[in-house]
Amino acid sequence: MALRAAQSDPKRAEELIGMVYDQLRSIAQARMSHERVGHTLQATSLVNEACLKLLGDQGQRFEDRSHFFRAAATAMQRVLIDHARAKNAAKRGGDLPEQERRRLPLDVVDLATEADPTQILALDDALRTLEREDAEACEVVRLRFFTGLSVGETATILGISERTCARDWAFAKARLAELLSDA
Amino acid sequence: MDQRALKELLFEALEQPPHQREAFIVSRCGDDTGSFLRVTDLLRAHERAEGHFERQERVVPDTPARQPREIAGRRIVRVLGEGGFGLVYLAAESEPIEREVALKVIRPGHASGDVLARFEGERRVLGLMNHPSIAQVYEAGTTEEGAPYVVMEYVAGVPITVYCRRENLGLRERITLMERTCLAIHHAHQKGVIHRDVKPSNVLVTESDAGPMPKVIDFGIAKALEQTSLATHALAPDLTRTRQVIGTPQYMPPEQASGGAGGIDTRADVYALGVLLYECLAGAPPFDPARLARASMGELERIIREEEPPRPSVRVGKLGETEEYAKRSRQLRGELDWIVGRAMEKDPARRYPSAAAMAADLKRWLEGRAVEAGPVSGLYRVKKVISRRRLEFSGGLLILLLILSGSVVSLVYASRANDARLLAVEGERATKRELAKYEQITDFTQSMFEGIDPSFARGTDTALLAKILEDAKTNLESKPPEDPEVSGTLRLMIGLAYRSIGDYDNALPLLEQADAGMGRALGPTAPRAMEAQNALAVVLAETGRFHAALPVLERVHRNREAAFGSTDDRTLESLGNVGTVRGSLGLYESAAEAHRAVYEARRQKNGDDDAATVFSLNNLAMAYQGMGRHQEALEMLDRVIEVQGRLLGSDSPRLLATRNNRAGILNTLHRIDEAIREYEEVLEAKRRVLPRAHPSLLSTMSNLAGLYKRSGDLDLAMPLYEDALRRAREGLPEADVRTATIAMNYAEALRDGDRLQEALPLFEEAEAVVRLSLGADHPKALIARVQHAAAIGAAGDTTSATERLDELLPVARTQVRDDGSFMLTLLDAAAEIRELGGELEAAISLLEERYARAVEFTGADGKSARSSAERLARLSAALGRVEEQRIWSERALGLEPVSGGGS
Repeated sequence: MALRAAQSDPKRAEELIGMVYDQLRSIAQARMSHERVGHTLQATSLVNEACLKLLGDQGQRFEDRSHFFRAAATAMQRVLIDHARAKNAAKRGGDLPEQERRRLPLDVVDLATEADPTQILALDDALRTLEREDAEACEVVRLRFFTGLSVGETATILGISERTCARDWAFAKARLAELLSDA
Repeated sequence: MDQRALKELLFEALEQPPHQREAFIVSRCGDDTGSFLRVTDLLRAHERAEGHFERQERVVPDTPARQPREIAGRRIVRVLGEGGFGLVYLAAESEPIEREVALKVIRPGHASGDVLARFEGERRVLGLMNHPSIAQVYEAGTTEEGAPYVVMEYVAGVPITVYCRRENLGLRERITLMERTCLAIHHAHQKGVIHRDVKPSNVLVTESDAGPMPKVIDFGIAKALEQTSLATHALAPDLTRTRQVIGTPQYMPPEQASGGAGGIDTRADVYALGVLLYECLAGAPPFDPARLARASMGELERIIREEEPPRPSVRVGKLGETEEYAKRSRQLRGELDWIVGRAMEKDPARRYPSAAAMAADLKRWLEGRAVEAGPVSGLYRVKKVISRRRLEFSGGLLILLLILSGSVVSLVYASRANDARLLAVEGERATKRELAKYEQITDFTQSMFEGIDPSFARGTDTALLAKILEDAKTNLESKPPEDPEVSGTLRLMIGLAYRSIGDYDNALPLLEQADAGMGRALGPTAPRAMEAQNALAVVLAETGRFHAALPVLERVHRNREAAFGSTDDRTLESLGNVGTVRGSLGLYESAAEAHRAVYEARRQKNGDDDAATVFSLNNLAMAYQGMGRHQEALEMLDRVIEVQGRLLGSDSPRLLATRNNRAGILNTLHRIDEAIREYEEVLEAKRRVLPRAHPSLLSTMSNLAGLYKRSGDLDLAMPLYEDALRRAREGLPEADVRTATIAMNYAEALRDGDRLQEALPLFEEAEAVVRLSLGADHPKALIARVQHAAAIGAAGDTTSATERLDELLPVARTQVRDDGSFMLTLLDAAAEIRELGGELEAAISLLEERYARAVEFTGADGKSARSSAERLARLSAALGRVEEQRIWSERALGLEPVSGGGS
């Protein structure tokens, strides 16, 4: 499957992200039908479930998990951003292109945050800036923020020490706060 | 600070208790204000971010798992601070009233019987203290587990230094806070308690109705506990940790640093208050924190006991170059410097006798009365050394001498730490210990003069200094000290002082004597003897006596190699000097050999990306340039520039010097446009970073203008010369040689631009100034004279021109040594005058002399030889001498070897 090759091949990585994206949406949808609106889904459990579904027992292998979580972070980020864009566009009167509108992931409305969509979009911008400035710190924050991994788990996924991870996390938080307050 | 270090510092700061974070960052950044601002910004952003991201953060990494729920009946809220011996918690009391308190508890294992006994005794005294600026101690006792604890007033303030900066307090407010702090400490002293750990994080400022109020915390506790823990921690392998624990070498008085616990009294706190005042006034602590952090225990002790930090006004002046810093420096100069100096005296007996006396002096300053402290500190030290030396030098004179020589001597003393070790090995004779003191004085004077370009001091009013040096020299000669090392060192210092004012005639004999005397008495490989050798060689080289300098430099190099090994920095420095002088003598091959050896050694030692490594690569490039391997030289310089730009920043003087060299090579390669562009960029940077009339800036302006001129852009050259001349006239002392040099270059440009009438007065001025300051027969004066004469000739008065020429040429032939290019210029102008006066024969003989010298200096293929040949061909033609014309023409074209056809 796409997973193994994703590391070296950006196209395959894109495939993987797309798969996770779809999976995340469908899991969220399924959950939503059981649990009442107003209940905020836990990103971690969501991603873990997606991981299990997509990988099965293979998911225990470290490299697989590592690739998966990176992909999941990207996918989750997109889910959120698409959602925020749609919501934002809706607020402004909905002038998004037709195609975008069809992809609206209404099923993950309550996913991670009740934040103002403009904030999510600003965050996306800030993350792009951070990525240019410090790609490592950005990866840490993306994993933690979008898949809800702990510092220790993130360190394991990235193959770095826990201290380095905590350090990057602290820095990324501070830098993002700066970028967001500048915006 | 790179990204990684930045992140690390932020993270470590976050591991500190919140109120100590900023102080922690200050302690780690030292003078690096940029990094300090960056990290504190991030810290603040991080605090804002906590709310933003909290939901996502599952693990809170910095909450210690061991935090108890309750101690001694108080509910524990959170950890405030942590030391080697205990923890301080924020705790909540419900009885007798609801309030927050600070609860300090001793860690299990640190509570030996000894500690406990003293702790108990101290506790009673603490209970007696009652002062608005002292955190009140409510209760002390022992927990059920047997750990002693203290319950104190909780002070929600920030360290005094942080408060001063954050609130941007004015001088008066800062001093008012410090006065109150002194009085608080004095109150404690009266109760028999010494704080011993006065530092910013123990003097917090809270805002009350009556304005900001300092609160001293941690009183006396430190004394009771650290006695034992100091010894324990000194043995601990993790020294950084230890320093965080005992924390404060910066604030430690010398008597405490040497470990003599018995000698510590209330004046130890006075010292620490002095350091605190220093930091509040200067905005930075007296000793470089980074350096303290790196220092070994022994080195730390030496720094604290012996080094004189720069005065606050000097320190603040170095923090930044804006008007704000300059203004602050002016405000501190004098009385406030003195107060700090008095409090921080190394000798307790010379400090303020009490914290109250220090408070009183601060109050005097606030009320505009004369303070008690005076400018005694530094002078006292020098006097003390002199009196010990029992030499009958006039104290005041020697002090001035020392101060003025300080900046220069530092060059020679650069390796003093290692030398001091060697001296100790060689034997502990009393004189040597005294000489070690001398080095301290040098340190002291150096710190006063740091940042001043020695070449800038040259040309300033040196009459007074010359008189002082003269007296010092006479004294020394009439009563030479018996110890050859002492007398040699004094000669060395006076000689170097002479050098600093450009008086080489006096410098040279003194340095020769110092070299000979110390070489004889101590052996040529004694460190100090080598210093003298080195100083002598440097002066010889600076005066153009390269032939004389070279063997001395080679000797220094051999000796240093024998003493320190071939890869020691001092050995390499010497070898580099050897290379540079060889280069000056045109011995480019062997120059390259020396520079290459230095370069390879530094690469091995420091790697490729190192300032010293690329500096030697720069030297190597210049040797290659001399060998005519311009392209390779250029590639080397590109590498140097790349590394220097990365390591030192785009405005560093070293980088600008390298780029200057690069421009020179481009010029040689006739890549004039590129050379001009490089010079233009260098000039732009120098305009930005240097004062408006800095000599280095002026010389680049003049060089660039010269290049414009040579490339035919007189329109660009003229205004640049004019600007440089104006700056020189405004910023340099009156009748300065450098101004004259620029005037002369400008005059030449005017002359070439057919504005001879404007050029004439400038030539005249240049000649007068150079004659006046250097003497009529000085090489530079000879140039000015000949140029002036040529201009007079060109203006039509060939008689006067010829007279002037006849007067100076014979002098020039006997006076001028070594520097071939100089004589070439002179002969060139002289021939011109003869030619203008119609004396073609005389012109020919001058040009033949010029040709011969040019061949000797740069070879028959050199530019000067060819231009001489070309003119000789022209003159021969004018006289109808066909055969001679043919020979000279061929030589001019490089077709035929020098006559005789030999080599």
